[in-house]
Amino acid sequence: MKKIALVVVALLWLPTAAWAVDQEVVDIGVSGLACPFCAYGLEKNLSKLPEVDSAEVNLAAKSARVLIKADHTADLERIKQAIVKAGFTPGEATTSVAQE
Amino acid sequence: MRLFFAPATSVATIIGWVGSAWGAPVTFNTALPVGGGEFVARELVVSSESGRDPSTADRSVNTTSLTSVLGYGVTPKLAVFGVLTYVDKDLDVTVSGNRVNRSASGFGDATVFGRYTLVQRDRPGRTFRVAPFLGVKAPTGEDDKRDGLGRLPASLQAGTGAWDVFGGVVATYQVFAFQADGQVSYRINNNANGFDPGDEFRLDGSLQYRLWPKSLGEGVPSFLYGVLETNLVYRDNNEMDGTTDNNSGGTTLYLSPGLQYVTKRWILEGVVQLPVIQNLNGDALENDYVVRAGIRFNF
Repeated sequence: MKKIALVVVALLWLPTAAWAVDQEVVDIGVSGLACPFCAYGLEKNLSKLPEVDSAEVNLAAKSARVLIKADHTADLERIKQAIVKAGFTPGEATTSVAQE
Repeated sequence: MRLFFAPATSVATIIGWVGSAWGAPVTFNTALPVGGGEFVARELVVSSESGRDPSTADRSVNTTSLTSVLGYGVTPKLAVFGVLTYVDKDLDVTVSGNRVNRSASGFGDATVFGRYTLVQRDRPGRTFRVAPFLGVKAPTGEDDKRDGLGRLPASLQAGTGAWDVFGGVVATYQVFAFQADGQVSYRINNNANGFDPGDEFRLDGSLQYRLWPKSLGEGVPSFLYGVLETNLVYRDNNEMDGTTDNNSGGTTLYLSPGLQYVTKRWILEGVVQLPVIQNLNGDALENDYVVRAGIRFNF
């Protein structure tokens, strides 16, 4: 009975695991950003990049988190340019991988 | 003729400085950025009352205006703005023992100006910027309105009929806890229809202090700022057909407490401008107060 239950669970889990996709995440420091109203333009500029799935500012952390589309790779130079275009100064960036 | 002239503050204060369109002072400009390719907009309602008349004419002027500002970030450092105001002016005055009402309403003159960020010092969680600006006001508003008594006085018209230029420099220092702005500016008001309003020099200061939240959470929390602004306005005498009007112009110092609620997409704000010092020439009409309330949004 236990074996049957395990097999059922495994079968249910399998499709989910098969569809799980790795997504690159870029956390980048943003200097010069100190109010909520300014954050919108920054998020909008980052979200316009074709490889970007979503972008969110974290004011307290003085940074932005950029989620890259599954079939794309992060272009740090373009992300930094988008920050400059929004009127701010890019800082250090770190990349990691998140599973969707 | 001077009996009909609205106070020196009526036009300049009501329309205000061309106005900022983001988290910033309420009564003047800011040096904060409009991102390249981004739009910001502002709707501002201003109501002013001037009724302390040192002359026997017992003048009383009420002005209400709705100002629309649209800003566009051409580049991260260069932003351009267009400003249009709909204004309603109402004057009560005693002439030869009779109380007379004269009023005008309509779109005022259109203003365009550009602002360039010359200095930008960014650090994590703070910024310091300095931005000169230069603009022009076009005579698009009607300046020949009449009533049963004839042509309305120039200061009661919705438009001025003149091309005016203005410029200045604004500096902004912003951290999470507060924002401070300072501006110095000069406006050259030109002659139209024989009336030459005095030029205007302004020195403005603003402090916006974050009252809530006390500490920042995740993401982009909304801020409630307490606002305190000062505006020192010096205006030269008006001239009519080349003759100086000694009952116009002078210096006014406003103190303006208010509140500002700032979110990621929009800002709600309001201040009351109180004239704490009015050193006006002759019988120039003193201002009682100015109320400003508005909304800004970005898209």
